[in-house]
Amino acid sequence: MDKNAGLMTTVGQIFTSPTQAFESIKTQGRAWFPLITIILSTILLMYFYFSSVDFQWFIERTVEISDKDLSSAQKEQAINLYLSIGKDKMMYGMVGSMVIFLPLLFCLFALYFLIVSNIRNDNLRFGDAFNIACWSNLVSLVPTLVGFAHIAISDSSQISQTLLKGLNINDLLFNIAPDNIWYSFMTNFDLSYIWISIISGLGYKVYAKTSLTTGIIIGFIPFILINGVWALIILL
Amino acid sequence: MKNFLIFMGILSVIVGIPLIKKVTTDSTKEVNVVATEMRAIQTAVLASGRLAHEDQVRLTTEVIAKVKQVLVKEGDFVSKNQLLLVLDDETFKATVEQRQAAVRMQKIDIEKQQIQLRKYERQWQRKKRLHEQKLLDDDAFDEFTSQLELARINVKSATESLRQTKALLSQAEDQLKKTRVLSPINGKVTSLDIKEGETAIASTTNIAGSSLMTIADPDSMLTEVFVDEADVADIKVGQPAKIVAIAYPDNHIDAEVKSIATSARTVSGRQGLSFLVKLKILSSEEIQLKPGMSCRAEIFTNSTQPVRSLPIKSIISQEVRSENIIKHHVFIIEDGVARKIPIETGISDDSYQQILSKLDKDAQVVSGPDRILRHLKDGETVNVVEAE
Repeated sequence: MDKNAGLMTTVGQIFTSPTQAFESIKTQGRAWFPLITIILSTILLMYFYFSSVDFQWFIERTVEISDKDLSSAQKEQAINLYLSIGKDKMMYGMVGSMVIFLPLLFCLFALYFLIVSNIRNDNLRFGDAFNIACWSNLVSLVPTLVGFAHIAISDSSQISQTLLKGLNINDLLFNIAPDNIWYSFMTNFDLSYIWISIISGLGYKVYAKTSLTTGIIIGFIPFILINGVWALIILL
Repeated sequence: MKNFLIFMGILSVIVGIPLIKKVTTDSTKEVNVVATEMRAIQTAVLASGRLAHEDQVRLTTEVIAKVKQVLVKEGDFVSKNQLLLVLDDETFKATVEQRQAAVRMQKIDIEKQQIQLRKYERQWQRKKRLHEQKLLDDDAFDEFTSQLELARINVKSATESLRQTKALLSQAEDQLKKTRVLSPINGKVTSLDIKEGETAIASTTNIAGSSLMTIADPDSMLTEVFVDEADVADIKVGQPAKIVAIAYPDNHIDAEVKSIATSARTVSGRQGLSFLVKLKILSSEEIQLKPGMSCRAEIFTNSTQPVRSLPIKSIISQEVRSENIIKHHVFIIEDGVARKIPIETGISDDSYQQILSKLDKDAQVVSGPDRILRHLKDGETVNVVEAE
């Protein structure tokens, strides 16, 4: 098995048998591959979205959702401001922020595993933790592809930005309106995060040689913490 | 086999979810509709300005003095020549008395000079006889003749001094008179800018104390609006107008164009030049208009007979830059589907536009909501929620 074929096998195994995938990742690493794949797919999705969306509608909806307390005049002003920025500049801005944000997010994720490892004396290095973070997030390609499919089959150019998070529970199940206090929470609650939590837990289990339960718990803690605190803030 | 099933599952999610979403999402848009209607359309020029009195006098003082007494209040009606305000006149009275005394002194002086002259004239007659009898030499006679001429000049000089002193007296009396401010017109005190004890200052600039009060004829109320130079060519004297005072937003006041300024001016807060247009108020029942009130005016420059028209909000305009034209279209509902219909438009007012194209009078024309209408496409299914 050559090196590239091995990489493709690992990619496939992340989806089908993550434990085996992490066994091979543990020896070969190569976190750059999922990192670049995720960034590139996100950039492509952004490009596809901005090429397809009715920009005027997009701006109006963004302003409408972002602050419901704005007066009509303020909304008009905000819309004109965004329109003056232009479609291309806005897309490049978003793409640029993704290129910076995604590696940072994975670093934070890796830092979390490193801290847990230090607490538990599991002796993980930052590189190991970064491998877990990047490879487990590779499954986020699925909601990205769902986003592509949404845009591709849409009859209208008025495509909601929430559809880019293809597995968010609001679009899948609840369909609550933007004026609902749970709207942001629901549209950001992507089912793929559960999958990512499970895979990252399995990754930790392989790297730290812990039990499955411990690994899964460690994998789920960030997800539960982020969403739990967010839900609490909304409730309070 | 297991891997194949997992990948098939993932593929089903990727394709299935968007498909299910598309099928289950109701893409019908909810719209409001209107029908065309026959109505007179009046094109108008919008302008803003203030209410003002045409006959208005701003009283100022010509002397500097402390205000002794204010005999009117703001809002009082006053008649012509009515005493309004008294300034402290002590100094001016003293000046008058001083000048009167000077006049008297001057008269006495004239009398003295005249007595002197008469004395010289009698003496000269005697000297003349003596000179003729050769009892008086030529030098002495000439000397005496000169004294007589000088006495005559002294009388003339004293007379002129009297005139000068009298003029100074008149000036002082005039100053004294100005300490009593009288109303120059019949009218109403619209503004009282000074109080008892304050010092009235003679000045043309608008400094404190220079303005005493403003009196205006309440029946001469008009509206002064500033019309942009781009619109002024459409304005003509006699055109009807509607005025809305900001204080009475629900009351329309009928007016007509009374005059248009002959030259443009720069108005603060506006870009470009504006022309002052005066609008005569024709009726203002039930409203108490006050000068200085802000108002906006619609001056109707063109008016039609009732024509087929639609609300402006239902007409979508698109600029075709390559052809340098603007195309208009509306959406009409046919069997629950929005159909794009190009139209030709005529004149418009604030809310309605004339439709020149043939459009079925019963056609349901989509009028909103704006966020849907702006992005509506030909052939989209729509649901009428409100017929206006």
